[in-house]
Amino acid sequence: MAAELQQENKLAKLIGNFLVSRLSLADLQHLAAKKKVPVHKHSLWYYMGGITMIYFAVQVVTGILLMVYYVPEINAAHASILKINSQIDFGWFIRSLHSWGSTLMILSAAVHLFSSFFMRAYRQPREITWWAGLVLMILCLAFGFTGYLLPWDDLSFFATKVGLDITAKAPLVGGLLGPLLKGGNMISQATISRFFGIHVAILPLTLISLLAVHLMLVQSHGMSEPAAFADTPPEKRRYEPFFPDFFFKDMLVWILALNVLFVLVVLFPWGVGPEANPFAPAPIGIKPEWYFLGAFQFLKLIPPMVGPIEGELFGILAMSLVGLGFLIMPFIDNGSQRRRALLATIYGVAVVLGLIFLSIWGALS
Amino acid sequence: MDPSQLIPSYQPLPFPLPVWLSQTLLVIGLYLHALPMNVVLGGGFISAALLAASRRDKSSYCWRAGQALASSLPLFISFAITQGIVPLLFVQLLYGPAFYTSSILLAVPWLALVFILLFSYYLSYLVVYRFLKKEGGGNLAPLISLTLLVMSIGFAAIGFTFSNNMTLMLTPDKWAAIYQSNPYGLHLNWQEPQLLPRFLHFFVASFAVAGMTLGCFGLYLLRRSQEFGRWLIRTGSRLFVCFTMVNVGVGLWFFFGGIPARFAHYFAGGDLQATYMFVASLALAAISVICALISSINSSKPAFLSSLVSTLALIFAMIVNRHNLRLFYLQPYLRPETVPVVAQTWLLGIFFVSAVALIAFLFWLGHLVWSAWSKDASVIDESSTA
Amino acid sequence: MNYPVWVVPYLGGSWVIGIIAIIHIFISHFAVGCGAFFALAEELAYRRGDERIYAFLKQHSRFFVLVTTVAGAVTGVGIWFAVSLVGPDGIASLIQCFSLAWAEEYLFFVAELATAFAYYYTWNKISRQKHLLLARLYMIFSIATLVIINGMLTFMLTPGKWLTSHNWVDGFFNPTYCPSLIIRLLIMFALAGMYALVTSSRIAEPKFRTFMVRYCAKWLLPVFVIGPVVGFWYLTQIPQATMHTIFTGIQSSGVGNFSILARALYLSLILSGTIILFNFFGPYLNPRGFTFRIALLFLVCGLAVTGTTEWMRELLRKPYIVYGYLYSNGMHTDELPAKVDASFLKKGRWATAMATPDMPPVAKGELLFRYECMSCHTVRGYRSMKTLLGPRDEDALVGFLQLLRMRDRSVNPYSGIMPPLVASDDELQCLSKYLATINQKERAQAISMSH
Repeated sequence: MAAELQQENKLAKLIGNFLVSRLSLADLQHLAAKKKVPVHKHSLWYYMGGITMIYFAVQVVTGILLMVYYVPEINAAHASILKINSQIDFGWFIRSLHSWGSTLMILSAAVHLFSSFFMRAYRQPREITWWAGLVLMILCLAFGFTGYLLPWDDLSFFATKVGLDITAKAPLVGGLLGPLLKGGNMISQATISRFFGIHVAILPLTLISLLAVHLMLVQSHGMSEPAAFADTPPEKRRYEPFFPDFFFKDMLVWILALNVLFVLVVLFPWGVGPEANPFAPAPIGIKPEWYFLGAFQFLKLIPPMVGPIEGELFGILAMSLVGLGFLIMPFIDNGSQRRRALLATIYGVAVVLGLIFLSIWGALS
Repeated sequence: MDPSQLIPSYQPLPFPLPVWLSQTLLVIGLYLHALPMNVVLGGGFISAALLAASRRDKSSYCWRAGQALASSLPLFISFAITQGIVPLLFVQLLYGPAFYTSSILLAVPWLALVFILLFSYYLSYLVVYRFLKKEGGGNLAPLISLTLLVMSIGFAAIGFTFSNNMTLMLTPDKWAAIYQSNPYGLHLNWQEPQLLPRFLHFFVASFAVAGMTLGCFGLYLLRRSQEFGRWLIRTGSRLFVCFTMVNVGVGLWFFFGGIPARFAHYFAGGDLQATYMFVASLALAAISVICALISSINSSKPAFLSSLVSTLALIFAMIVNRHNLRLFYLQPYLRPETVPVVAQTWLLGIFFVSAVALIAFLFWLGHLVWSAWSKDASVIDESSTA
Repeated sequence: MNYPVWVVPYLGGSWVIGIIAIIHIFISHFAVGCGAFFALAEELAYRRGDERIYAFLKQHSRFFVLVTTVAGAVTGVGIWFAVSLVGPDGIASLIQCFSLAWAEEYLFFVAELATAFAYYYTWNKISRQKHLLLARLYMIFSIATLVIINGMLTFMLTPGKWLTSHNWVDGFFNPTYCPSLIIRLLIMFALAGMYALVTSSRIAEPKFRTFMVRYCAKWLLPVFVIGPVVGFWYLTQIPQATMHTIFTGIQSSGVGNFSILARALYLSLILSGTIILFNFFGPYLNPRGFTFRIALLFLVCGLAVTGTTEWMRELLRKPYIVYGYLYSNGMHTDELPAKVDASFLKKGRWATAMATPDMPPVAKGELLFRYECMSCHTVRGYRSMKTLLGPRDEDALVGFLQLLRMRDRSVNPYSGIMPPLVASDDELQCLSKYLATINQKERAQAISMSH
């Protein structure tokens, strides 16, 4: 049996040896072989980061392709999207991949974030990895926000307007950030240009650099192990090598992740609404993309004035505090006390449930 | 509305074989289906009862009999389904216009039948593999009986749905009103006077057949364990006699209260062929009951064998009676004889040759399996744990 | 028109068949493919005298019996039931044409099932040669069932010379018979491999498990190597008009105009690609890491690809049940009246009987909808009229329906995709009145938007 297998792989071996010696892959191999992935009942969550990354790769490729035809100009943006959707061969395909890809990427990033949180991956020595992850999440949302305006259709225009108005109310930086993003007092050509620049240059560069840091840190610390796993006696702990075992499983997960994307694209291609008319009244019931729905609904619920503070400002402050909780969690729950771990779990569950509840409420209202 | 206006026409294509041949195949096919089907339907209930009765003593004959019967059910279910193909095919060919229409009117229960079948079939395997196979299954006994009971109720529901469809297809005068009341196929044929006696007649018969099946197990076991074999023959015969006596009552209800008098009249001299067959079936019923009565007292093998043979003939005769009744009902509406026939002679030849070959093959296969199992000492116990 | 119409809201009758059929195909193809798998794998075990393979096959045969003899057989009956409820004219035509072929199929079923049970119940009870013989016999019988049913299935898309001769041999050995037979066999081998992977993934001993997982993975190879070639052959045999529909579908989908056919085609291709990659990176390259859960996931992918591919194949036949002979809505092609404005409700038993003279127009329209449209459309649901009608008002609907009456492809772009509409002018008015009740809300919305 073994002999048969060897024969089959003769050619593969030949090529493999060639590459290994020319690219000095041996070091990499050594590194990969050294890396171990713990096997336990929560191993499933280890794949979420990889899924987010593959979706990001799709975004990069399709984004570059879309730039070929997209025109970031106030009178031509909408038309160029229409052209991509209905005249360029399989333009709809690339655009739908990009639009659905963004949704799936943010979704998987969020799942990755919360699953890492519940596995307490923020604890020492991984604090910086955790913070980098938080910033990456914010960058993903920023990607979504800036990209959403670019088709310049009715819905995206007004949703962005609402979003920017809220940004302008933010404490301290709001007064500066609002006009800076808009490029003036209202959404105009300047806004498109700025959003375009941010979406295709600033954000990708920032995200890729930060991602590199994030990945390097993951590599140097190894996979985080949940407490229950780390507490079991060493002889009972099971690990599998990152390469080839985990890597090939990762491949399978990627294939399935891409498959989900393709199926969505084929069954529900992304459309484009009527061109934005900045002077028309906002349509009733305007809503942001699903990943902002929770926050949006939260702000809607707050009365105009909370004590002496303006309602929206109060809402933004409250949400910032929630975010701050994630930021300082490594200091609160450092693994020293059970009670603190429980607090972290309660906090996480509350945030997740609140977010889901508010999002569904927002979607239905 | 004139019901004959509602009889869909046959497709504008010829029949591939003569009507008499189709009818023969329909009757034989239904016979081959009815045998295992009866074993399953009655056997399910009876095995549930046997296992419940002996739940405290797993070494009793009663428990072993129930176990053997329950373990054999999956195989019989499989036979029943496969043998159902031929009658389903030929009823569609010959009486499709009536059959399809009534099926559509009952669409939802009719289709639900398939899922009930799937469910009950898996329950039968669940009993064999998860419960009976387990060591110390004694404390599982109530669960086993309950599962078998749920399974059997499923099968009875299937039978009842069939009775609904098979009676509704005979009465086109009811169709229009049913369909107009709603087109979603959510009906049953409740108003039909022959529905309940007809269903009960078949249902009760299945208990009698299950009794015969127990007797057959006994015949097989006589060589190995004289006492247990005799017990099985005796018990099986008793069950047969009891349920057949009950069924005589149900049959009378069916005959006098279920079907219109003009059709009953055909069986009592009105139609010669139908009368012969009806009288023959009454005679066969009498013979089988008398023989079974003897074997139920002294466990006599010859008496049981005679009863078995006459029961097999009786079931066939009853299926012919059922077919005749259908013909009487449909006569004014549907005449398959009017469809032209272009015989597919070659295919017909191939069919008969392969049918003979199949029977030969099944004998060979049966012999192979039989001799393989006979090598083991305690066959019945083994079969329940296989 | 001949029969009452079973109204299935939302899902539509065709999906009642579809759902049952997809499950049945997924299992029955496994049942046939597994015959070959047992025969070849047991031969391997026999030649090598490898007890581990025997143990594996014994384990697998129980899984096989539980899946195929129960769910496979029952869903098979289920299709038959569903088809006769949804398209009685179609199944009646098939039966009147092929009852003897079906009877022959039954004989092989009996042989197949009996052999399957014999195979399963005689492990370690008969000599190994005899047991191997049973495996081979099962393979032959199960393939024979495919050989027969394939004739009836392909007949519906390409009845070929049968249309003129009405001779069963012409209908049975039709143009797509051979390519379809080969493709199905290849798919069956692949499915046999996928199911066997599930059993293999539970083997405890790592080395043997690696061997068995790889062995099973190889069963997926033939369909991906030979499949495309045979697929091309198949495409050369299907009707011209269908080819045309496929090409227009792909062309128009390039610029974002999606026919359901094109979507099904893409889905099928994407999912097949997934299977290839999954199989390569999963069981083949990483047999050690191929766990039970992944195997089940893989099986789900297999179900998805089977489902979409069968869905696509069914779509190819539109607008017919039997191509060029019987339309999807149960109308025979030769029943199509010569005059464009001939009445529909004077044809067919039930349609005529249900249309009472004093019927209000909307009710009459609903009846027409039931008989002429509901075989493919639902009011709201699959191919929803609510969506398709959009905000059209009654005048627009009349105009559209008049277009659908035309049989000339240059005038009626739907000709060849939908059966021609048969309706007198009065019936056409009734139908549009009924349709206008479906999209009331859409119309009101459109009006409020324009103000």
